[in-house]
Amino acid sequence: MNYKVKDISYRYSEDGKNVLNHVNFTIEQGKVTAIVGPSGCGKSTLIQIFSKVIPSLIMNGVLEGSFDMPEGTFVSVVSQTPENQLFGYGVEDAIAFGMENLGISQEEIVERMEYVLDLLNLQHLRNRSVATLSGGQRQSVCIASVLAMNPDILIMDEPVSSLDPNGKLMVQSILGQLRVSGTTTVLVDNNLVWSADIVDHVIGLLDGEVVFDGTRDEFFRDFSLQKKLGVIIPQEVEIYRELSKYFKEIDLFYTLEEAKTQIEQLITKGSGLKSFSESCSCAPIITTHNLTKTFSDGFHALMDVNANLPVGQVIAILGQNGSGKTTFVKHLNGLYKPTSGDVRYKGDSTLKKTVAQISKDIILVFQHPEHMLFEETVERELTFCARMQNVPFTEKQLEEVLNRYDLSDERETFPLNLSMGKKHMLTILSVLFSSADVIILDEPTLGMDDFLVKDLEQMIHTLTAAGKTVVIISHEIPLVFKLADSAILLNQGKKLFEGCKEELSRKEELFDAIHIALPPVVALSKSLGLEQICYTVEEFAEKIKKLKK
Amino acid sequence: MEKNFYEMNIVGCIRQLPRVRVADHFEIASFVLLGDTELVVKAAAALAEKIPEVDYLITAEAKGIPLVQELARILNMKRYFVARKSIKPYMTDPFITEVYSITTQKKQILCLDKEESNMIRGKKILIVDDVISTGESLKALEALVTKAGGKIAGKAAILAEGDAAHREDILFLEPLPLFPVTVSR
Amino acid sequence: MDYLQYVDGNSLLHRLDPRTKFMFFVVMAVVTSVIKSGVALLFLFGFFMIMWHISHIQKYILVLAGKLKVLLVFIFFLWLILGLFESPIVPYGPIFYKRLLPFINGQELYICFDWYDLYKGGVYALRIFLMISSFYTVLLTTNFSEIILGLRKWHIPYTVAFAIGLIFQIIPIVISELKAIMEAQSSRGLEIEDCGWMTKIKNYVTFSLPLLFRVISKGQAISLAMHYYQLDFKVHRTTYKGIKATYYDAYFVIANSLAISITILLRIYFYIPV
Repeated sequence: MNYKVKDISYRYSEDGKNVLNHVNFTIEQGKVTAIVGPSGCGKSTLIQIFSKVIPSLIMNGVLEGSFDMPEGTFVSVVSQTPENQLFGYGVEDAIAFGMENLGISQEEIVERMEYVLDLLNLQHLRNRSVATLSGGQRQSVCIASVLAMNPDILIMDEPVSSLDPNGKLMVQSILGQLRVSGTTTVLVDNNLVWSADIVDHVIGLLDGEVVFDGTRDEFFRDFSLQKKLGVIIPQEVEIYRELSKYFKEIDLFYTLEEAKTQIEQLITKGSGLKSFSESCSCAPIITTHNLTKTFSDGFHALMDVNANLPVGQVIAILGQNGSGKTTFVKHLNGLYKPTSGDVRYKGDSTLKKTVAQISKDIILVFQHPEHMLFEETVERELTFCARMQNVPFTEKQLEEVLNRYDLSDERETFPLNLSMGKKHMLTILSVLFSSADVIILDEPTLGMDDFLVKDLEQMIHTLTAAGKTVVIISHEIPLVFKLADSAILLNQGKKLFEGCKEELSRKEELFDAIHIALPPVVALSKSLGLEQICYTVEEFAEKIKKLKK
Repeated sequence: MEKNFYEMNIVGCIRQLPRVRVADHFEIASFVLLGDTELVVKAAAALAEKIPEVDYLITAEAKGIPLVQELARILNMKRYFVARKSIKPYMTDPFITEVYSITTQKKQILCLDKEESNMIRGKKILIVDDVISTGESLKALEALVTKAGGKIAGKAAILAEGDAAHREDILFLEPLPLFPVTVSR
Repeated sequence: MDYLQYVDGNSLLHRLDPRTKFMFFVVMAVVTSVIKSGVALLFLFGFFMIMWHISHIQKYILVLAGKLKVLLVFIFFLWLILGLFESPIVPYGPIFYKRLLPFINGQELYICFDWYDLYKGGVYALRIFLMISSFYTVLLTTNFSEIILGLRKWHIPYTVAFAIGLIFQIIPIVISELKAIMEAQSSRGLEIEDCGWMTKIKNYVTFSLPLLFRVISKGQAISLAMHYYQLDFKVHRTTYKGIKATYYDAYFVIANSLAISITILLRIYFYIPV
């Protein structure tokens, strides 16, 4: 039994524009269907129609067409922020909540509870309280609580967008389990990096219309479509895309192992990495001295961290959640004061300055844009830092930035009405008008599609070209390696490594220790014996071309 | 697990100083400047921005020598002085001070050639060293400079160890703690 | 603020049936509002201390005492000052200071500072503290899921019970949202530390706008989630976890009954009218 989306059109008000336009496709039972498309393409509206939020909660719109499913079909949703979706103090309470609502008997609740805990390998969490779980664990419990209600269709809305690599792995394995157990799953996500191996069927949406309906492999072979939709695809597939320009015989691959086997047959193995001389001797702009932070509950968040941030570089802070990354950067801009140790900007301690004073030199852009936006228009938001710090700016500069980052039409818009990715871009752009010469970005790619990520890359280049130092925390490891010049690696509050990217890429054991995978291009450069490590797909393809048999 | 070194960040150079037990109740972290080009260059540059205007620099042999050399180079000084701990054959007419050391319970001498002591007379002199700890060698150098008729314009070091870090009269880049040892059960 | 909420644990108090704990609070509220004998209240205070100690929550009670400090001192002095204008009702105990002071219109004011004033202040402060701390003892050891469950067993409509539980769940979220907004804005150059109180008030007004939007969007997300979980107050809900009184509850009830009986006896034998 498949579920048919039949000619659905929707607008939020009588005289509004159609956000969905004659949408037709089929959701196959027991398969994983991915719906992809840039922000604003109508994905979220589609979820609301499937889950009957339209019309039961949002009633003003006009819905034409229908979503055909048998009477009593139950659709449930896992959202991108599990904290809004877990009702109950303990893990068991939260999982039982939905079942209790359905009025299921206690014996059956017990039975289903055991079933989902076993299926998703969550038995070890059952006696924990929700508040103490990590992001990945929380999302897993959230999936379990929805699954326990035995939905006919399970929708996941960007379920890993806010998770660290460990959390992503956890949800990835759960998605795999769901596929094996034959749960009909709809994944709504413009990032297919983590799910590429599991998805069966892909629907591409653009401006409310279906522009692609086919299998995963067909989708990954259609390069222009991926670009048009701004879908973030696994780097392995990008490698395939670049290499297929030079090698006709190459076949589509998704995993590192497949990539390696295929490429090995095409080329003569290289002679291995050339040794390199360590030459990262830029003067540091910020230094930390035995930085130690113990929180009031006794948690040692940072221990004796001595680090140098070289001026004019892009510096990545790497580590799993809980390794102390955010705590570390909050010390740099003065939000946290160390338990002991010192932070110095150009040699002078910043401990006695207020956060606002430090922001003239060092500015921190937060993970969640909603915390930062509080002006009435995009224009005022953009100039917020400049006005707070009394930095002059001209109308021309303002227009330039608005034009360059596609915001001129939204100049007078209320910032909170922008899409998540654009909101984030706006908060980051506002530092362009600040006097700070160190800019810290905490998870800047959150909610961004491929187009916005490209804009972000552009902007970081603009900043470093102007001699500014950029510190970036991100779980998007391939992007980090592409952008960064050097890195600081933290693990459980201790610094494991500090130095340039080249040196870091050669230390595989460090990545094993923190359970983060090297980007595919870096791993392949090494295992295929290239003379140099490549950080971008283009560079890598060039090198492989030269080794062609 | 006891760490057997102390890590610190000195003007952007992160160094691990081995910890050495020097008495029953405490350990010190031993700081070796000799041979460390990067640190000498960066520390000298940082010190050069802090020190007052002077005519000459002086240090006592041996660990302060690379630092004073680099500092003099940055400050464009053609000469600097190194006080020796014994009279050398080249000294035709040695200029000597004798100091009694409390820690070693011995008499110690510092000396310069007469020609050098003459150059010092009436000039503003900066005393330079790698680490200032008890301040004893500093005192000896002060005595030597004063006896030669120089005016001490300041005292500078890369590290100030233990109580020296609280002294107002010295310029330094980083404090270096002492490590008390709780006697094992 | 961090300490004024549920603390996870597995102590005697944690294991009690929530209904027993609600009863405990109700009974203690009555006892402390009826009994005004210093000796009896001191005994009850001692009993509470033992209970807190057994359940390892004494450090949170200390935090509470710290927060209530100003209130308790105020109550103490209020009754002490009121007591200054009268002689002790009962004859025993020292009198520190007694005089007729000249007052307006040539009248005189009788001031009598005696042991009884101190006693009265102490009793009133202790009563208030015991009343608040008995409520807090329940709050510290009962998580909101149990509160909902307990209330439902008392046949309070699920809508009300759920709303109460939701409040406990949302308060910490709002606090952390406000903190995040303040951090984010000061990071962008808004001075919130080194500024006058006028600016501080202005800042709070500015923060309230994004906070309002955050809370509204949280509320929307929660109502969406309730839809996803098919929460319908018309459908009869079942429960996964049953709550059952155990022998712990029996011990607890016995110990409390004993303590209350002794308190009442002490009240009868050592009563000083207040």
